[in-house]
Amino acid sequence: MDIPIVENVLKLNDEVAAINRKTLKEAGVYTVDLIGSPGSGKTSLLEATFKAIGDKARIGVLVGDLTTARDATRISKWCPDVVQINTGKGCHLDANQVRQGLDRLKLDELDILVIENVGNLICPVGFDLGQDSKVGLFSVAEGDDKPAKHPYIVMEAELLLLNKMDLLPHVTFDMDIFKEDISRINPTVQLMEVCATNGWINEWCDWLLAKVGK
Amino acid sequence: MHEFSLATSMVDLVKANCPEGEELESITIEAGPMRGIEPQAMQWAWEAATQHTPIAGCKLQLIQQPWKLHCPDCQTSFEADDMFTDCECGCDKTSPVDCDNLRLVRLTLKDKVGVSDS
Repeated sequence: MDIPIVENVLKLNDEVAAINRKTLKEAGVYTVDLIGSPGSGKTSLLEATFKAIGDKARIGVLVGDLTTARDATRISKWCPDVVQINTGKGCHLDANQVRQGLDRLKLDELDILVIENVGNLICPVGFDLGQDSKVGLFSVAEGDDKPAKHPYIVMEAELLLLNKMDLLPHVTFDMDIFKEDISRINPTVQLMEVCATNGWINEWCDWLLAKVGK
Repeated sequence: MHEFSLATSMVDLVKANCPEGEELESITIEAGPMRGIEPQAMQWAWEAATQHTPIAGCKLQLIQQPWKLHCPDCQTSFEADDMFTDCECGCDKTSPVDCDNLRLVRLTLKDKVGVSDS
């Protein structure tokens, strides 16, 4: 006998994500889920962001990693509000892990929370964490075909960043293909070119500060 | 490896929706192409996630949906095997829509031996 049913497979995750979203909203925290492949420069971007934003806004960070606290250690030099979440064998963060991470942060003292997801362009995209927006991070060193190969992040992101622009003359990267694929997958997504290691991130910082009215 | 996470979510959802005292033959999942599910990995993950649970042996029927593309010129939607398929009207600016479904759509129960339908 067949029982027809329509249930979102990630219903339980989405329910916890809704609780996270409510908690963050009540605390007045704007939350970004930062998603990019390993080595795209997520942690470097955050280090540069702290350097550039200084005391204009207080930013907390939840860092997801399979193992090690290296990213959290790097970020803790800039920010006291950092929590490491080790996912073990998990290739992404889920809403419940974020829920536990939120309990360890003083949310009332924060303006912005960045969730640095596990380095991966596929799995993290499908899991709602309770964020306000997803930001996808690519780098020119990864090649111009990444949006076409990973459309889900392009589709879901409010903002895409293209990092390591200083390497552009040294790598094979067709900017026209990169941009055309993005605009076809998601015609409304915003794209910014950045270079975290030399501090060329003003546009990104302005975007972030505007979200919290600063 | 997100297939394993999805499989464990499916196990929880199926357990919550299966009528008491019934045994499951199979479940049916619909997945949009955006989800990037690899069918073999999904089957393996399902077997691994269900073993030693009350629904061990329950089969997974995975329906992978085609791309659904929207044409901004003629305002129609159509199905395609490839995400970058141009519209019949010639427009090459089609965009994917509703391609991230991930839904449990059917539970199929095992027939009970010795119980007739009449």
